[in-house]
Amino acid sequence: MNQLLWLIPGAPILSALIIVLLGGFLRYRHIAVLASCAAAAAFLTVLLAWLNGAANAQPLQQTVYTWVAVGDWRPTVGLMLDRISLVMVSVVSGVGLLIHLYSIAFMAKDNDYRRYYFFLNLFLGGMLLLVLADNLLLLYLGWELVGLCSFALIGFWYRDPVRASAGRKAFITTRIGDLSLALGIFLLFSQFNTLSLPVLFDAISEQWQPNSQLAAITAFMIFAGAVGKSAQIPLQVWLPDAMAGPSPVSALIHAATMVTAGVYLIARMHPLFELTPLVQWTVAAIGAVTILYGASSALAQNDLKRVLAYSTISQIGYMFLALGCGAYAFALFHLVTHAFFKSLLFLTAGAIIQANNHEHDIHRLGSHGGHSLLMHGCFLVGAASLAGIPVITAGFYSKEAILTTVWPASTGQLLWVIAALGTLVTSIYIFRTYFLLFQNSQKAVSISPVNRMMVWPLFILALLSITAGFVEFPAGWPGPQLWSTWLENEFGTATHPPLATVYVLQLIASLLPLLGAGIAFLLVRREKTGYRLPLSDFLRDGWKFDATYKIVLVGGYFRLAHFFKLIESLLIDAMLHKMTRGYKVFATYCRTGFEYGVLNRGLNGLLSGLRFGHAQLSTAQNGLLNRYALMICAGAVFLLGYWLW
Amino acid sequence: MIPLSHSLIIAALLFTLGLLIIMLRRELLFILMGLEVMFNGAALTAIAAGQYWTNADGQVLTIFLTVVTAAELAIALILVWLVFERLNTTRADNLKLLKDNIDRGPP
Repeated sequence: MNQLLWLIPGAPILSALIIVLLGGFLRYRHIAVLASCAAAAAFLTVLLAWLNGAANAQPLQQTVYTWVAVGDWRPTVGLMLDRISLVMVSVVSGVGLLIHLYSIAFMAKDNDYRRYYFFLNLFLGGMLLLVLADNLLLLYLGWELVGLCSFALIGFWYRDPVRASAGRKAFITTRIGDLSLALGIFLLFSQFNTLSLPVLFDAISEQWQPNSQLAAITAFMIFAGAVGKSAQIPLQVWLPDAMAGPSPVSALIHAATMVTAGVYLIARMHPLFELTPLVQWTVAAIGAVTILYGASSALAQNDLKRVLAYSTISQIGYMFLALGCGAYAFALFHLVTHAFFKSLLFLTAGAIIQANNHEHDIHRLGSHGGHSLLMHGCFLVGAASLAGIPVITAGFYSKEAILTTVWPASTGQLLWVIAALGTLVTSIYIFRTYFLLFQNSQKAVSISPVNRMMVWPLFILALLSITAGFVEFPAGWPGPQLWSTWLENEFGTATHPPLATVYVLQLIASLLPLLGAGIAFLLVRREKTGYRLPLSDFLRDGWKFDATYKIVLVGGYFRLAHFFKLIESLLIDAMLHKMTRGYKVFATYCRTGFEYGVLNRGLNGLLSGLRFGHAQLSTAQNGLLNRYALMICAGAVFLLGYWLW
Repeated sequence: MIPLSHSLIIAALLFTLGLLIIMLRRELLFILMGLEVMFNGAALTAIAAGQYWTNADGQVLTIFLTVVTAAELAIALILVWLVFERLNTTRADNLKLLKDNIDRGPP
């Protein structure tokens, strides 16, 4: 099994290479099947790893080759499959495979299918490389690779300037985080002279004291990288615009996998974060604020995909909250269930939008569009799981687990209240969308039936959105808690408050989604009569973050430029004028006395000398190739002779 | 086993021969051939040295050199062809565009 590990990221990357090099000879069908087969190969290898007991045994390891060898520093292309990686790899390859299958039908009418599948496969390979890497350098390679693919796929329809600029915005915004991550990695390397993760963790726990300043700085740098990639405040502005890409891309990259890379990174580096409670608290606080930000902004959106984008921001906030409170296992748990229900929602939204002539507005989709029963059902399942409807959905179990472990953390009560409020708002916005879309839409008579290739991924994801939660029942419930016990060796156990408190918290948190659905019903009824939410413009623009950045960053830069220009015109121009006048006076004085007498004669002499030299030299520059070769030879012989004797 | 000195003498001969071709011939194609001969001399040195030290690097270098030479020759042939098309000549003597013309004065 160790020897097969390279296939997991290798198969998609190889297929991407084939598509980009030989794709011109292939038809759409072949390229699509090839890409899907590569994704399937990766997924089957992961399944094989499960069957061979990777879940219980020691971590699998394979060193593909030594990447660089500089002195005693030898970063390898080494893969490591432990339990954290296993979770990530399963989700990424599984959801990736489903989305490849879905894309076959979705992209059938697009002409740029070759570019699409190249980047989709490359993304899958990069993401798998990221989560399998056993050293930080390789992890960073995967990190940049997914960033590149994300940029290319957001701007996939680049002929539309808005979409192209959305791609650039995503790239540049995440770059800020990437830079910080790179600095963090440099810092670790300069301290420990290694980037291999297991060695690094040993060294960190041995050499760095808890609360040491260096540990805090490094942790913060890595955290900033995660913030950029996972679209948390203040670097979240790129994600809503990223919805310019095709819907399967939004589902794969901007909901299920790439944006959760930050969560994976922090969970992976948790020995470092546990040394610095302050940074850890910052993680939780950023997560909590982002929950509220995303949920409230989603409340006022009219674009179906933007609702889901803000919802992704807010759900990743839950994961960060869990990470900050030390409940790494539950963060990963929510990551998994979120991957299922959010990609389900995105794929359903993509199918609805495609069936209705690319109409994005939920009001118009609701009043004019026809939706098949299948879409209705799938969206309902996804929405219920996102809202966390008690007991029957996967989203409930993961969110509940996070909420109970938040309570005992430092300032946990406050964080809990924010997160619970987030749950309520989540339920309101997603059911508002659901009611607006489906409440009195026409029956699907006119629209074409959904392609069968698109239906199967939806079914599987819907099934998983319901059942994936049953592996981990909330604390104090009579049910299995497989997830947290399985990950105990990696992360340790999360702390729970006393059981009585747990029950009260659970009761409140499970009533909130139902309450939210009720509020949403009333809200939609009032919205149809023209009622608008208070502050709806503010919320729709995502708390005006974009406008603020424009004023503060872009405006500030322009202000600075204007300031410099003013200085230039005042100071330098004035000085130059004075200097020019002075020189003029000086020059007229010189001219009369000096120029005619001395300079003219001297210059004439010099000029004739130079002319003579030029005439002599230019005989050498005769343009004859053979003469030049002779010169070169003579020079070489002369130099050789000089060196030898 | 051929002694090292023999191979080196042959290589030096090849190199000199190529050099002489370049310096004496006036036809662009012959000059390119002279270049090839010089390359062969250099490659022969690499192989001889590799044989002398029983090291495969010399052969690797030669194969690499052959590939690079082929690529370079392709470009050179295109240039010769372009010269013929534009200036209607392939003699090196007639290509004097770079000649400094003193009558025009300094550039």
